[in-house]
Amino acid sequence: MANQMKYRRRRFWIEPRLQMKYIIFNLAYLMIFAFIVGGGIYMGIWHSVVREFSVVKVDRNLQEMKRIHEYQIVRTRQEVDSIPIIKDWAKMLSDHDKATFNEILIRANKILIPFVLIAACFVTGITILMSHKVAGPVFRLKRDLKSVIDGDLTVRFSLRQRDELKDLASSIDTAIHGFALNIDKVRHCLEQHDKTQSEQDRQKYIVEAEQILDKYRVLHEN
Amino acid sequence: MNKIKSKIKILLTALCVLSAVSAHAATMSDDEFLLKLEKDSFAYFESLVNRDTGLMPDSSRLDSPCSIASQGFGITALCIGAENGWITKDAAYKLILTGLKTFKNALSEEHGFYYHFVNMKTGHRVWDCELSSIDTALFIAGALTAGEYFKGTEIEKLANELYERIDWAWMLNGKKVLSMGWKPDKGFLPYYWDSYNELMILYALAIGSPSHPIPAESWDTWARPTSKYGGKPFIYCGTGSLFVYQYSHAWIDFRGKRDKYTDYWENSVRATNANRDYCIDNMREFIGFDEDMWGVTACIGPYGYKGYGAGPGEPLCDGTIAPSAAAGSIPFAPKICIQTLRKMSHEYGDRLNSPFGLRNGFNIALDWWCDESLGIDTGITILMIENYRTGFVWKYFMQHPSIIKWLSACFTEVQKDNKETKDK
Repeated sequence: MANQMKYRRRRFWIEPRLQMKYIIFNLAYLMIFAFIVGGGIYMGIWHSVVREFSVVKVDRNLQEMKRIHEYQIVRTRQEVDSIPIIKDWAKMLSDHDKATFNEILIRANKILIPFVLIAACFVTGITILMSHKVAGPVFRLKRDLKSVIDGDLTVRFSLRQRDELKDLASSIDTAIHGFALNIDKVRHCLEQHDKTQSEQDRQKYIVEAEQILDKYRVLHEN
Repeated sequence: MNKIKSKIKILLTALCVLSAVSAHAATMSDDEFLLKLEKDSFAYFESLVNRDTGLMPDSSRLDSPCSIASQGFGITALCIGAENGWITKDAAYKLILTGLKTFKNALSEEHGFYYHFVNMKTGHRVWDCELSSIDTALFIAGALTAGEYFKGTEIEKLANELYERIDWAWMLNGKKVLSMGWKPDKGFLPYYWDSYNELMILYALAIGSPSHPIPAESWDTWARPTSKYGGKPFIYCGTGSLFVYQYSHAWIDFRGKRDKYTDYWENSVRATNANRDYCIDNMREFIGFDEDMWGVTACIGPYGYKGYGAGPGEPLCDGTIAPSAAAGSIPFAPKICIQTLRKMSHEYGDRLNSPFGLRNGFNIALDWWCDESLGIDTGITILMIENYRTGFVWKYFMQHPSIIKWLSACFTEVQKDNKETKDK
């Protein structure tokens, strides 16, 4: 627990420029997605509701309902009484409205589902592109660091202009270049130590090599 | 002064043109007049059909649903239109086939029966309406007619397939008469086709069905009450609406045929004459009725769609006249019907004429003129005019094997040469 607390991030804005850039991109394509989906919902449902329940349409529906009820009365020679008629009309209208809403939802789904699929593909595409700007450099860094681990200190990290982590790559390049220089210096000291006959010169090269190596702190396993 | 003179000249010219048009209308022969009325009525189906689904509307009103009865009339009307050259045979074929495919694939059905009203674009049931036996029968009558007209084609195959899919026995609901309909939440309607009206086409198709027939004895189970008005007795319907004496005859040629009860052709002749007599007898009560201005049947009136009718029975009448009443009875009494229609067109043409023939109803006393057309009334006009002129619908429908089967099971006399229509 104490170790977990030790490694917990205290500063959220650790790389403000990089973090702000991704926040803006994510917000932008999420808003486009929401706009497309919202537009689909509006076009599919709201517009249909407004049209199907407009005054003109309601008036037409009432006339149609009355006509169909009249057909039933004529066909079955029923006695006409106000209250059952009103109840009949209410039920007919209610069933008709339910069917209308159902049709609206079905139509809305037909518009919405393709919209959502297109928007999802769009978001996925953008996300892949965005993540590749980070994943690509990470991949190259890992690959090239493997060469460094194997002893090749001549490796230089080159990323594309639009890739992220260019600063990191540059820092690693500088670190490896520093290692290479110092290893060269230590190697030079050891070579001179072997070549020279003078005890004093030998001491001098050992001290020089130790001074270079003293710059580096390492973890001792024991 | 010059301006006034030029205005007078324009007015006189317009009056001359109108007079010429009226004079031309007045001098048209009966056949020319009927052909024009029929062709104008045909425009209802040809122009209002939904080209994507092939469905036909109940009414000329905007956003009207499809009525499957109107569909039956409309399919038959398209065949008539093709025969008369008002639409190409290919175009009629495509529209009819589209409609039949919609019925097969899109409309909800229960034991082969369809809901009375459906959405024109989707074929879905609307307005909590019932699964209707009579309207399914009217649709199938039209489909089978088209099947015979376009013999050997996909239309014939599909029409017979839809017909054979109907389980008529189910619609008996365990009784001896057919139910009027069924609803998913309420089951069978508590009303039955148990007394004379437009039911004959329904029983004909049910008895003749090759796949799910009802017993031939069902023909005897519905009541045939008789009464008379003015002239001779006839089997009547209590509401007195003239359409009940016409709808079955639109497809079935009853001329020269008798069952053990009556000659149904003669029955409709008497009913037509009784309808006219009723209007004449009520001339004082309802302004507008006279010897050449009559015809009460179910139609749109000043207070909505009503089952108007004439005696005998307990008819509802408020003076509203339906042109389709006379039009649908032309084969039964051509002289009086054509005379009436010509008078309607001549005297009230400016208010009765529409792009789809004569409007559905009018009431002279109330100065009320309907502003829409109905598919079933426009349909009966077309079919009966064509039957009177050429016997087209009868020729094709009567050759269907199921109708032949029904005739042989239920009719005692079937003459090969049909009688000429009697006229008053």
